[in-house]
Amino acid sequence: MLRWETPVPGVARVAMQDIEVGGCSISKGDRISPMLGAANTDPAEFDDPEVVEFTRNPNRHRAFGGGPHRCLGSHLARLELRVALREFHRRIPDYEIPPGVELKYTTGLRSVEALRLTFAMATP
Amino acid sequence: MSRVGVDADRCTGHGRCYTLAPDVFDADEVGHSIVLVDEVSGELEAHAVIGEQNCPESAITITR
Repeated sequence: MLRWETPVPGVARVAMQDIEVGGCSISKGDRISPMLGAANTDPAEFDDPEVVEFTRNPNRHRAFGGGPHRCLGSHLARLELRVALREFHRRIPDYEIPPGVELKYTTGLRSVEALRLTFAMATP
Repeated sequence: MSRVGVDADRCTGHGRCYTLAPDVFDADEVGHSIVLVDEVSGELEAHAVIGEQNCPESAITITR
């Protein structure tokens, strides 16, 4: 899920050396914004990248970036996600997005402005 | 027997290896990877390979 819905799709970086990426030349000192979300759906790294597969292995996704500036909060984020998803599904195991609802994604961080769900009330 | 190694200069502490293969890898005090079992074969080697393949920094080497 971190691969598919990369929460922070892009990060700001400064090139440390002259390099060419995909036919685009980047000079040392240039400010660039590598798209982690695009890397996470790169068919050169992932077979069937558009398919959500929770047991995908290997799964060398870049949701937390990489190198010296890798997300320091990644371990906490994974734990929070695990707890939040477990508790949500414990309380609301069956739910769906009502037919016809179109999700509006925000710019910057990967999130939706609103998420309408229908689900049955739990019996007391 | 295969030899498992972690390049300390490449490892930044993603923690994928010791999450997926805790019988081969562990975390040091700052969360970087350390190798618990240097020489692996059979099931342990399979676990080590899972750690190697899932390392975002390509910091793990398995020498056969």
